Amino acid sequence: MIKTDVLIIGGGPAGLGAAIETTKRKLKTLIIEENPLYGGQLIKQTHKFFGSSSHFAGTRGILIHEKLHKEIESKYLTMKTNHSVIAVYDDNIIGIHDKNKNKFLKVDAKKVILATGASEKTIPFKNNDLPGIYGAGGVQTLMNVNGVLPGKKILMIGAGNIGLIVSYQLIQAGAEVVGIIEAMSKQGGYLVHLDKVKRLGVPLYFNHTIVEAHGDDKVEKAVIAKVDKNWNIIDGTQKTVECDTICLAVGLTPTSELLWQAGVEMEFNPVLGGYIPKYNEYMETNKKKFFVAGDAAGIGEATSAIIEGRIAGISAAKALNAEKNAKKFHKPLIDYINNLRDGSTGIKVKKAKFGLWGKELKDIKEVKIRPNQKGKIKKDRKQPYVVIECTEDIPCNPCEASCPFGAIDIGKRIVNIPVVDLNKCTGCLSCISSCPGLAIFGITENVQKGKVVISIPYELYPLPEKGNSIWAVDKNGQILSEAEVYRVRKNKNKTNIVSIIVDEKYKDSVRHFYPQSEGDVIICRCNDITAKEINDAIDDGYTDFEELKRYLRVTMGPCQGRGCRHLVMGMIRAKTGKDISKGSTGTRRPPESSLPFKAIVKENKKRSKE
Amino acid sequence: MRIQAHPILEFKKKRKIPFFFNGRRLYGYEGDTIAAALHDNGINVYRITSKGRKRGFFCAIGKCSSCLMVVDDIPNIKTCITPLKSGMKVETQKGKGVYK
Ligand SMILES: Cc1cc2nc3c(=O)[nH]c(=O)nc-3n(C[C@H](O)[C@H](O)[C@H](O)COP(=O)(O)OP(=O)(O)OC[C@H]3O[C@@H](n4cnc5c(N)ncnc54)[C@H](O)[C@@H]3O)c2cc1C
Ligand code: SF4
Ligand code: SF4
Repeated sequence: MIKTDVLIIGGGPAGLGAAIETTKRKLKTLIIEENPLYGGQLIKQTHKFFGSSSHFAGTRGILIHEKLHKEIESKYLTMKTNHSVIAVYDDNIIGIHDKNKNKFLKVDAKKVILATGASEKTIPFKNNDLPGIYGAGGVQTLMNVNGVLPGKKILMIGAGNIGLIVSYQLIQAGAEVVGIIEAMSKQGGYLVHLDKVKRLGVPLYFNHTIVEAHGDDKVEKAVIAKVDKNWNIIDGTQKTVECDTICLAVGLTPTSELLWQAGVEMEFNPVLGGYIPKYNEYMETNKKKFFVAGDAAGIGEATSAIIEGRIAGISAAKALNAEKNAKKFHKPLIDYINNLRDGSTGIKVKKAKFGLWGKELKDIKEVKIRPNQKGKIKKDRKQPYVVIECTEDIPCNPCEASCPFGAIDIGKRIVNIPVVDLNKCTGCLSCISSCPGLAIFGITENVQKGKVVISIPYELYPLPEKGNSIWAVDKNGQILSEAEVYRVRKNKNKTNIVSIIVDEKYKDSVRHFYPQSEGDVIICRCNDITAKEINDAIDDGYTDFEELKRYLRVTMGPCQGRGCRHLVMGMIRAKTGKDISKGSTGTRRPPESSLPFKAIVKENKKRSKE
Repeated sequence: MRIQAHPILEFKKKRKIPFFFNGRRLYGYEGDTIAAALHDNGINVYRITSKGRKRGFFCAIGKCSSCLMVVDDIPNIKTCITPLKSGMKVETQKGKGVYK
């Protein structure tokens, strides 16, 4: 029997948050984590987090669990990974499966904090068990933890934050998202997340659902259809989508089985994701021994899970007489989470939680939707300024914290709309890469007549280089024009800034770009020579047709230059301004068209006989 | 399909290890889960249910029962959270699986 002061079930953000507080108070703490890696959902979250910059916002999820781990007093912590808690027995002894040694262990803990997270929901449709259909979180694990893509063409079901984020991450990993299907008439996730996938040209199907999956060993296609207000399928609107993977992002439900076993009072709460334990704002359940935190206490975010974990940790310490002044430590944490939930998405969760706690929720002042900009742009302004396109009351403020000149204001309430004061903005562009929503863009006017430079946050591979030709793309992923990369700024946090130069008229519309893969433009079909190879050679000084031809063997294939001579001449002219009618265009030698050598040999033999 | 290049993540080159899938020799990398290694080898069907339905893997965190396989003669192994080991014998599970 293992004895410990506090047992924490689950090593995700909630569990780690709890351990920070219990170990700080010198309580012997044991974390049991089912996975070989600790960190819960964080280990696969490559995106930057929302929330307050004082609590990891703007930091990528994959970096947060290590930071939390560092905050834990290691002297008082035992962490066992690859161990599952499988039972809470009537005498409150906890049963554990040590998967490394395939052994059964028993733990006698004075207090238990349940931080088991959530599991993904599924939905019924024909053949929904076909290989190639995954939970979106499952796909995120497969690609971001294991480095393996599930397929090439992905259909995403659900436009909540998870569906939108995982779609974006699939594209980052090199897959194509053939569509996002959403039964509601608008996205459930944040607008900034939707904007990210829209710019990438992902087709969105609102008021749609999936009806059927097809395939033998793996998904080959899906049938989708329009739904009416009551989510009934409208006959005649069915259509087939080719895909090899279907990703379900249709919600999460708390993993609360162990609390049922412990005899904690449970209730069904649809807003919080399903059956949840009853607990108060200090994360205490009706059973004195058990505390709960994170997604297991109702689906939320990692930011709130960490805080709830810490609240639970303090409560457990209080119950063990290791914290005399719990109130003092609880209050700022409770206030912080409550503030996070002040926006129009969070408010539903806040209401549900207050209802659970039996507390009255005072009227919350609605967030004023205000323009993202104030101040004037001088006509001859040469330095950049930023445009913020973040119009929802989401709990997020890294942009404010990132500006060294205090030009961005969010204010006391974290759900306020950010406003940039153009009189204060110096154009340093620091805020662009701090923003988890990728919603801030730089504009530089007066660089070249009739042109503007647009600076874009870019998190895709490969990073283009200065001078590269690209397609300038609008907010909906539509190509507007050809353009050029003006400057590339690499950032440590991997949100790089790519500035492109476009016609002035695109100032308010261009917000993204697609690379032009020059290497794919074949000029000489016979010898597989690309436009890039030819342009590079001209840049290297092969500006004469004859030289270029000998160097690259362009125009020297079986077609005898018929296909490519005029293209190559044009490229020389475009690069050098040379009058190509003057120089050599190569000698035309036989054969004019290809023929087998045998034919010539035969003829020769005949002649030599004669 | 292994991700070759990624704008945010770096996948370090790991040691290649052999394993057997239904008697066929395949390779995965150290640190892979069994399911990930199979996926990389283009194998999607992990088990066939009693009703004859093919199943792949679904949740990747050991919460559903989609990816159960027979591993080193032991049935019902959650391959999505079980690390791959050199020489492992992995087999498609039929029905509820039997101990050999
Ligand atoms: C795709 C996606 C994107 C997200 N994006 C954001 C975001 O941008 N910002 C944000 O704040 N939040 C985000 N979230 C939400 C956030 O990840 C979760 O709310 C958070 O991880 C919950 O923390 P947790 O500790 O409660 O649970 P988890 O992180 O799920 O951790 C629970 C842990 O418990 C372990 N466990 C479960 N049962 C047992 C058992 N019986 N025995 C032992 N161990 C067990 C699990 O293995 C797991 O490691 C996102 C979630 C997803 C899926
Ligand atoms: S560009 Fe620089 S000065 Fe202007 S708002 Fe952004 S961080 Fe502040
Ligand atoms: S603009 Fe500011 S508030 Fe909006 S997503 Fe970006 S960092 Fe967050």
